[in-house]
Amino acid sequence: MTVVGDIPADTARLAERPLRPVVNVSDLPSIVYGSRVVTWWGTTGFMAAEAATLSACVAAYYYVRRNFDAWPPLRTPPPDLLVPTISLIVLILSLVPCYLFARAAKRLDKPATVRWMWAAVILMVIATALRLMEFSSLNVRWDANAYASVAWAVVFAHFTLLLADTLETILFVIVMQSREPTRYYPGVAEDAFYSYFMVAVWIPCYVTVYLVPRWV
Amino acid sequence: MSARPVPAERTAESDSGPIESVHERLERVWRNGPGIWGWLTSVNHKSIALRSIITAFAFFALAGLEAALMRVQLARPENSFLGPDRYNQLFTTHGSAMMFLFAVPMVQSVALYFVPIMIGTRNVAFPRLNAFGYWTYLIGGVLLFSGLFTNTGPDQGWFSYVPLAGPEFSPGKRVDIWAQMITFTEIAAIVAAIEIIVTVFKQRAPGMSLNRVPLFVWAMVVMSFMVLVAMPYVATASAMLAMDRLIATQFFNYAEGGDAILWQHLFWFFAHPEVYIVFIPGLGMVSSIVATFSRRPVFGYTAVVLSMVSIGFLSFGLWVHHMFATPLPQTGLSFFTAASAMIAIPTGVTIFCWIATIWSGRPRFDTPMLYVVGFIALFTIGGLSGLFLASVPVDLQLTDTFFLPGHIHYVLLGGMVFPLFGALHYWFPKVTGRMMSERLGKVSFWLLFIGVNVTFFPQLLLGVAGMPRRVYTYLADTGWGALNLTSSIGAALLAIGLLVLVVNIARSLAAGAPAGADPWGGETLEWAVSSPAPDYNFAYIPIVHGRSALWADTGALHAVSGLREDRREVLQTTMLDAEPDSRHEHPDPTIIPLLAALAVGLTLIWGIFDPIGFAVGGALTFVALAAWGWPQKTKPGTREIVEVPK
Repeated sequence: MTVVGDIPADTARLAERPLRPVVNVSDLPSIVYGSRVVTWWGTTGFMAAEAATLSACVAAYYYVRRNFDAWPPLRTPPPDLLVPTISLIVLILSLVPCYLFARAAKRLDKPATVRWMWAAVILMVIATALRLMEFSSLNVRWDANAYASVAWAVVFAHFTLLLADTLETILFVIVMQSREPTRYYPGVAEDAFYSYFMVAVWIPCYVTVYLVPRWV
Repeated sequence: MSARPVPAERTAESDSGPIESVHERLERVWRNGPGIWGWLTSVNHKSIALRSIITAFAFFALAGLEAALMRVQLARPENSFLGPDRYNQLFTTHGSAMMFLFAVPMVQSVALYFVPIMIGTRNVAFPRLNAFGYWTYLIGGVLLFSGLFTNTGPDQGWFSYVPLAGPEFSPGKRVDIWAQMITFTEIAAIVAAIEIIVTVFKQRAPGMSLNRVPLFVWAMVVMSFMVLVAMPYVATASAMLAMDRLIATQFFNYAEGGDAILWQHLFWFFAHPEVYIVFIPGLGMVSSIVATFSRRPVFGYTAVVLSMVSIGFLSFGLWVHHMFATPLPQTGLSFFTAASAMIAIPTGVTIFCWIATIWSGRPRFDTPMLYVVGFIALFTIGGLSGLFLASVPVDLQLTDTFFLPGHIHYVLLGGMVFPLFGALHYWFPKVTGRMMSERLGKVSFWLLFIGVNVTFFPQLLLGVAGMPRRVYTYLADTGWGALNLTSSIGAALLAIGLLVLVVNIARSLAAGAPAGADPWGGETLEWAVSSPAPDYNFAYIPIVHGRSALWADTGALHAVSGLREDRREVLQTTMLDAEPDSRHEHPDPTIIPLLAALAVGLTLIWGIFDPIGFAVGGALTFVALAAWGWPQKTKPGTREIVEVPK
């Protein structure tokens, strides 16, 4: 069995290389915010994957559109606008307390953080309830035709993000009640960051599902 | 707040005496718990990556066995060894397992093992998520093979074309098992991709600015970004397929305005990049091996990095070349032919950089390097056979013939499996602390190299002769018998080659010569630590002064002190320049990732049979995730230093 015998002496280093400490990092902060935190990058990664998922649904929507003469198809009423529009407004409004609790979290201001988180939770729970009603605003069952399937797919795909974000925010409010919330502040700030994404990504979906059938 | 220099007297002291006790303290904090519980609760990147590598090899062996059975069946005309139904299940699960349970998880696991050590950190960025990803992958793989062993194996081909895979032509649960297996493996792949990206961006050793990141690590970062964009497409497509089958949606049903070609677009938008998702890590492995065995850094570092990035981008513009036989607009076909040809440019640049490296270095042809040469040869044949398929009129003749399996096996065995086996011989000493036998290594290399050619070149010829793929037998007067027999003999050679490889691994594990920390004279940081690397990787985080971390410095490496030794603390650095930025405490071992994966498993598997499974499993998953995020008691002695943003 050949081992290391044929390796020239200048490169064969059998022993572990010694490490000589020259810099001390014990005074570096343990709590930082934004892109300095790994969870910010992790959240961004999941956003990329979720945006890709939604884009696949939206692409399917426009792809299937080519198979129909009328959109929505004949004998299928267009979706109602009232509930989805209210829901969209509530979602956008929920970003105000999100912004405020993120700001409070960056100041380590526990009462303000918790207060604004509750406000956000209430608005998000309302938005989630409205989203459930939105499915009936589509005015068509998912199995009626391909139009119905793709419209349901877009709304449902985003619904999972909304539900996840709402549950996460509720979880964070509970976490913030714990005795030593300090290390959770960056996570709370990122929760708001995720909400911005979740609402922003809904806008093109809203336009696609609710407005496009009326325009084309 | 910034890092401060260590006073000179402390430096001198740390070099000798106290360093032993540092090792002991870190060992106590970072090691897995004892026994089976410790195994189930591990969040150590090396433990999890190693079991993931072994799992992927197990699926590789199962899928290989399926291939062997198929080659036995096709060895002579009108053979009755396998019936058509069994044959359909075998080729479908063979392809699906090789792509989803072997290739992608394998390259990601190799990354999750070595990237943290190569960039000088103690664990991946999200240790619990990493464990969760592994368990999810394992459940998905077990699901697929449970299906096969209970005669419920998917039988529609690994790309699951509708309408064949739809509810009308594939009743039963076979296709649903395939679709859910996709969901499991996509979750695992996306999780692993995020791990790799964030670990590389935020946990590199000080001094390892982005332009000093090893090429292997660059390759894994590019692969991970591709996974993030590509995988959601197949997950969405397979979810749509499952819904068409389970709740009667109409995505792919032509009668209700759905579209079969939509499936092909969504699937190939994923599956073409998929080829590069497993090929680019191969480039990374080859780069590591070429540098070490040529004893010089890879020529044209920047050109190689840019090539890998551009291959990543270009690979998303090629998917339609899998669909040349569908009614697509002529301009579209021309565009995708041109784009397919264009990817030869960055690939060529990379290969010329390696040739320049070997040419100007002092090459040494040990087994890992032989696999590199084998890779170049096989991948060239694979690439040339691809040229035929990139030409629309020729593709129309060859599509769905045996030319396709011949081509894809040249590309994947050449582009992924050969670099992987090279990497196996190269890093085996690091993972196990023991050398592999060079003699057996060379024997298995030649058996595999000859075996690949004897197996797959006849398949290219069979394709040209008109033999369709995915037929379980053929008539004697087609004249295909001799070539098929040759191909089957090649498969036997491959099996013997793999057997020799397994014997080599077993013998080396039991009685291989001790490897030491750095048996090859390597360039990158993994060779600075003992073999196998300790649970905490580095007693002190090294400071990097150049692109070749170990060749730039001889003697003691400069390092960082001040990370806590009584808990799992890691150093985070800035994204571009890798300056020390913050400290971060990592979680201790926990069972919660396994529970969360089981909840997800219950959701997806129950969901195949009853939609209520999604509701119940979803609720359980939420409970598991809530437990995951639940506030934990702050350890005594915790000193949080907050840096509030301005």
